[in-house]
Amino acid sequence: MKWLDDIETAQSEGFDDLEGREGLPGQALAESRHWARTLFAQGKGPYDAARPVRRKVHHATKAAPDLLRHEYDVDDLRLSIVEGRSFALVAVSRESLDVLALPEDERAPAISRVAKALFHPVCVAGGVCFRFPERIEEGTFFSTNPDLDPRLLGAWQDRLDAGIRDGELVFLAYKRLPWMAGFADPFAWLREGERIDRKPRFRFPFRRSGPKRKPR
Amino acid sequence: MGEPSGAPPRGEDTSAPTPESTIRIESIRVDSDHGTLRGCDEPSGWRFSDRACPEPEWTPASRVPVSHTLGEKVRLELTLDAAAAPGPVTLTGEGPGGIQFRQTIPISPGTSSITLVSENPLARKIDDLSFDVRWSASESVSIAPAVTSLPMLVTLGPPRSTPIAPYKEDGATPRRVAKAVEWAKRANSLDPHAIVECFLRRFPYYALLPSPDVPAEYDHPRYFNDVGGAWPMVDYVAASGECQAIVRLVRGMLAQIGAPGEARMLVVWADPDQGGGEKPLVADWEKDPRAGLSKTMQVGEKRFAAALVDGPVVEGKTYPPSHTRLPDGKVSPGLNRYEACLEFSHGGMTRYYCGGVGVLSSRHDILKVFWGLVWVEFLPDEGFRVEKVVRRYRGEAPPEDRPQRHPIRSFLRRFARGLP
Repeated sequence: MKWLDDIETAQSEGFDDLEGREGLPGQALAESRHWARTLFAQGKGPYDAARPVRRKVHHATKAAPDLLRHEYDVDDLRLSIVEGRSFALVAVSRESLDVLALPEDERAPAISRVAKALFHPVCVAGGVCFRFPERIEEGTFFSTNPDLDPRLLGAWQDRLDAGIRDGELVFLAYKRLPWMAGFADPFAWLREGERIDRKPRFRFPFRRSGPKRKPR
Repeated sequence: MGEPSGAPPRGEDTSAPTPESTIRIESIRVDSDHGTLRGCDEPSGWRFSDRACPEPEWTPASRVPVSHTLGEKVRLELTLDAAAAPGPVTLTGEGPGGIQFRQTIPISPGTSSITLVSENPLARKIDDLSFDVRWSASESVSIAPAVTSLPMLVTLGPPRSTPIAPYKEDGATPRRVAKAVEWAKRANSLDPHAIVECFLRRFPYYALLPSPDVPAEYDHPRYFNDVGGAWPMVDYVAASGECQAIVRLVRGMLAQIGAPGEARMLVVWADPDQGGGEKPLVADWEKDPRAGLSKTMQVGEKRFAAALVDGPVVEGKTYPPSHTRLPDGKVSPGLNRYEACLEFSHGGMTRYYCGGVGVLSSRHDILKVFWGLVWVEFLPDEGFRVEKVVRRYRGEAPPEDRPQRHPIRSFLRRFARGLP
């Protein structure tokens, strides 16, 4: 739960309001939009929600990485999404859904319903893919696939985590790049000109498809 | 013969007899075209449309593009309206590249249809022609109009009319065929391998992250969209796309020009437990999109993960997260699960195109895009410590292994010692 600690540290350092797109490098904004389309169901993501979205940003310090925060309402749920370079943490405010106030046997179905509504349908096929513990209470965390290492997932859909934290229902989705093992530098996401796909390549000598020229 | 009306051009023999009668071309249908083009009504987008392009292709009011196989004769059906005295007339048409139509036809007043077959075939060349035919007739008969013009896309074979790809990139539209012809022409070859190589030269790298330069509706770099799938990539070549998107585009382009061959996206990796990492493991990404290296090992308290590293590393050393920009401007070694390549097979030959590494002829070569196969321990800051180098695929030693030599100092030292 290092990322949760990072978010708390960033919270204490403060997020800045983001007006328009000026405060974000184009690459980071394109990635954020891409992941919003990838993770969230149509109309539920932070870039296509019907209601206004308030955005805040935390630029990396020595103590906490780059983070982007989206706050908006969707389907009577008040959401706060904190997005890092490699994850998206979705918190459903307790005022809009108090899971712990529900009878114990209704908590898991309620969580599945919310997951099914918010995320892309393939992630929660049938709405019962979370491996729920016997009791869901404060501090309980569970996953769709706890045995898979998040750093080696073949696709983000292979593992979605969730839990109850400070009374709020939270979901943690991993922004996995399937070709990569591990995650990129979380402190360099909002740095201008940053791109992790500019990787050094060994280039083989170029071979032509056509007939080879005969030696003189 | 010139246009039937107007003053004769200066310098010509004005004593020549003026045309007594006129044959008007009402329409031209290209019978030998493929008839597979769709979506002529949507000329500006990359989306596929089920609506067949109208016929006849040429009328005084419209010109509809046609596709035609190279090296074949052109067969036209002309509808003529003659206001001439009955009798035989020799009709001649001169088209591009020496194409010639010549036939003596019986003419009687009123509307009639005739079929003309070109005396020689189209050149054996992929091309986008303006199929301009200059018409003339024998005797004192004039043809109107004297020139007819049609866009003709000359391809290896018939473009595909019924798409089978999920995003319908293989369905033929005039705009798609024209673009595929434009790109394939550059190969100066009819060999599908040379054509694919020519296509791939435009995409020296595969894009792994979305680009802000490409409109969001296209879903760069995946190009999973309903506005043409991978086709809009041709307008954003510099931003490239994922390997799978480029495979879809290449397949789509080959389908437009009727070229044979099979393109697939392969992912290639190695496993420390299979042949010590020497054996390339291969999966067809479209059948197994989660394929790749996902191996871990628990040793006491520590958990190690296997990864393919793209730059030299040293056992026991700690590295920053993959591809971190370093203070000296270089990029740190990155950990990978696989390398994605386009595999193209035709005529018993298979070639591999991996982003930014050139054309390869064997799967084993693909592993050489990596420096080696390693066991690593991930660190809380997303960096990693190399536990063990399982296999090196390239000879290049890690920087720490070899003494760093300054090329000028080294030269001067050797010079001072009198060595060449």
